[in-house]
Amino acid sequence: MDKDTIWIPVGPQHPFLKEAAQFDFDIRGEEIVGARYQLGYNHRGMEKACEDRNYYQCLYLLERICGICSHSHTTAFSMAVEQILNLEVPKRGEYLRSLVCELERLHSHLLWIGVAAHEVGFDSLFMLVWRDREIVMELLESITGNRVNYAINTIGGVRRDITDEQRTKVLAMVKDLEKRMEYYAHIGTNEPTFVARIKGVGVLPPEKAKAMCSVGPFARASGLDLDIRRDDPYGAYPDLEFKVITDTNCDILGRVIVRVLELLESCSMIRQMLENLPEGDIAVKKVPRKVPEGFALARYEAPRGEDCHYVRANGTDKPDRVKVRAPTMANLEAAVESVIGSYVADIPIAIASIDPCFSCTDRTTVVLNDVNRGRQVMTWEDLRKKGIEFYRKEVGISLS
Amino acid sequence: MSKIGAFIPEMLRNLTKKPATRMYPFEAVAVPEGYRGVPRFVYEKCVGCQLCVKDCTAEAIEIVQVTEPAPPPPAEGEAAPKVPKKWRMVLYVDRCIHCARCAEVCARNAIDMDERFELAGFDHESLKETTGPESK
Amino acid sequence: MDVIKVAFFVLVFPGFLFQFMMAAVLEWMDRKLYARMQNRVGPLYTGQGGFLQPVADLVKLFAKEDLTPYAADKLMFALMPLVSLAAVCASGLLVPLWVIQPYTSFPGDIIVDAYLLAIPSFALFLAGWFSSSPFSLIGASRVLTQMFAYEVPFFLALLTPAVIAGSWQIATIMAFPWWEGPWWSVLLRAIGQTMALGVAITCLQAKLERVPFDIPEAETEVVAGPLTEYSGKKYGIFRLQKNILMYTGAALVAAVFLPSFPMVKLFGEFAGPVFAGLWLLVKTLFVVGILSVIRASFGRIRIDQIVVFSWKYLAPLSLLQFLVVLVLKAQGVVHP
Repeated sequence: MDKDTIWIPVGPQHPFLKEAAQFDFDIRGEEIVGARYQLGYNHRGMEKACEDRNYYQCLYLLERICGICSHSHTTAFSMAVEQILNLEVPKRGEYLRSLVCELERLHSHLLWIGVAAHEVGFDSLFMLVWRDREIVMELLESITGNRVNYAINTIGGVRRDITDEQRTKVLAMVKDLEKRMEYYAHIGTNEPTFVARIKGVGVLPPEKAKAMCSVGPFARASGLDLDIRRDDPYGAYPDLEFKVITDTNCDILGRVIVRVLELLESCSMIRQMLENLPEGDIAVKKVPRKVPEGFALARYEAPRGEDCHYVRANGTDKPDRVKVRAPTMANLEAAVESVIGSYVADIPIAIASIDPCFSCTDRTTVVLNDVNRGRQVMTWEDLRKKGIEFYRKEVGISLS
Repeated sequence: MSKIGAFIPEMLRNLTKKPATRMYPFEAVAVPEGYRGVPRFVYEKCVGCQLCVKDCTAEAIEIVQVTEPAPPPPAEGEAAPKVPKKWRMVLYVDRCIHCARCAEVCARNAIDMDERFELAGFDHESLKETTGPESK
Repeated sequence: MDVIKVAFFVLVFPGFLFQFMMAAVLEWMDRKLYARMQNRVGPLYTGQGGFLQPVADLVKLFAKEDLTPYAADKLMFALMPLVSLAAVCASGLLVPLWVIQPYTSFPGDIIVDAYLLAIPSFALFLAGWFSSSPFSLIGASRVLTQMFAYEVPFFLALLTPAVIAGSWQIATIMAFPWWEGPWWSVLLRAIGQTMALGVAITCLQAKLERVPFDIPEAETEVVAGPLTEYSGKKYGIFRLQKNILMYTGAALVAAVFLPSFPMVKLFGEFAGPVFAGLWLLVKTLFVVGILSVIRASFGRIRIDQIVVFSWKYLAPLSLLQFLVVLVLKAQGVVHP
């Protein structure tokens, strides 16, 4: 590193980060020449905690991995367990699940537009978008019982039904929101100070996006045509007609366009689901508490991208292993790569453009060969020996 | 070419509208029907199966048997009267995550959810709620 | 007697206490307008309608812990807030609310005012430089870069009314009879003044480092720019200085660009100056209102974009209108 390059640590605490994560940038003047990142500040041991809890307890625990995309985690988990149990969720249950799914997508994308506007200093748009997001939150509260962490899923279906009054309310709200969303689409693409900050910034060409395994709206804005709702359909999506929005801009303006247009698509999907809501049960009646041996991988299109849950069952009422791969994990490397060569002023908006959710991302990582410290994988015996050694040397007590 | 000041008409229009702020806590907020607040225990219906304890994600429920004094010995020739066991619920409100799994899994509908959401307290003891018949 | 009079002018009116009060009023007005435009309420509970909120904020900041970083230069770190406050208060004395020759009004005072208004930016740069934190350094370099962008158009715009009125004294510029002369002369003067007003308001927003030009202190990018390491009393003084700068800058722009009336002729010897002062305050409120609307309607632009915008559009525009006014004056058209 020469004399002109200084290293600024962005994080773990920084006003632009909504959660703790560490980014290190080498900058020369205002230009970024190097970037590294470090995660782990939000690790809570969710996967380990799942091994001690039965499937229903796991359901509500996994919901709290993330506040914004909580429904995606419960749905993916339920889908995985239902696959192992070979349960067929009744049609009405699937429709209600997908209804909450699309409402969650609405609130998450509206949240993201507000946050992106705040990152570029456009606080007025942030306030207005979040005011309109309140409408969605109140609807979710009346349908599911809470504004976040909806807890509407159960193994085999949903827990609550929707009344006719709620149906009319949702349809009226969707009509209102569509007008506002078209206004935000107009502002997002035409307001000169906003466009000046996002056009040509954080460029990620499609080959690079594919090579770095990007998912979700981030990948779709670089032209990749990936959407789990169409490629691997689940829930009510086989019956719905919707477009997968892609854009060729490959920069942050493209990501704004993709998310705003996805908002309008979600509104149309909600309308289709409510108009064609089938009658019937909302959940499978008798679900066995002990799940036979087996494993399943469930994929789900969360607002941020592809969310994968892997569940392995061993015949008891507690899962053997639960693994969660959140979409931010797939997008983060590409985001940090896309910001090199830009200005310091572009850091917040470029990293916020993947809609980062570090709480979703932090699971245990195994560092196989750290450049500084060599091999870091130990067996249980090695770890025990190291602990005994440490306490003998540092603290002076013998634990062997 | 983007329009300079595309946002100004909306800003000026908002000056004439009523603010969207709700004056909580000076104005009460109505919760919708079916809101998941704190579990409410109906002790007459409980049979002590402990399914709610098993399924609670946050280990926030304890179902404790209420100790009753021994009943008077039966009269000559009569069978001892059957005294149904009574149960008390200890709910740790600060642990509860308001998922309503206890209400869902109870086979006797002895738990339902009320509408409380303003649950802050200054110490853990004040957030431990015991519902049930008083033990002697 | 003289000493007491000078002390009164410097400390009470139009000096420090009055500037402090005006800064509080203007900050309250700015925050309320900004909030209402975003469909919110703004400050509401401190005082009736929240008008004591700026004072409450200042009192709170003065009560907080005041930390100096270990590697910072202690003397300069502590001195910069005071230097910028002193410069801003001195420029506030030159606001022609109460024209008292020769204390607060003398030939050439528009130049002195403009130079005094440039000192706070330098003090901010030095504050960031001596804080020795990477974010402060980035913020400090941005302060200077932004200064290169807006100072030249600002000066040029300020000189237009001076050329039209034929004087470098703010009081004389204000007293210029803009309604006299043939109608096309009045119209041409008005057009020149309006163009210069637009440039001056844009440059004033950049000087005050408010959105869309709050690049040095961009919260989401460099935490707080040059003020990152400041807390407690020193930070309170910087905030106070920003608000008084808003008052002074807006009053200067209002005084030289917006029309004034011959109050002494209309209202007499005693009521005249009072009404003149009140009218200037009304014009200042109007200018601050425009600044609030600008603040609410735009997002923050990048440092390279403001330099490009300023040298591509602002500077040529201000140069053009200045040349037009000079040509008109040389032809004898403008001056009645």
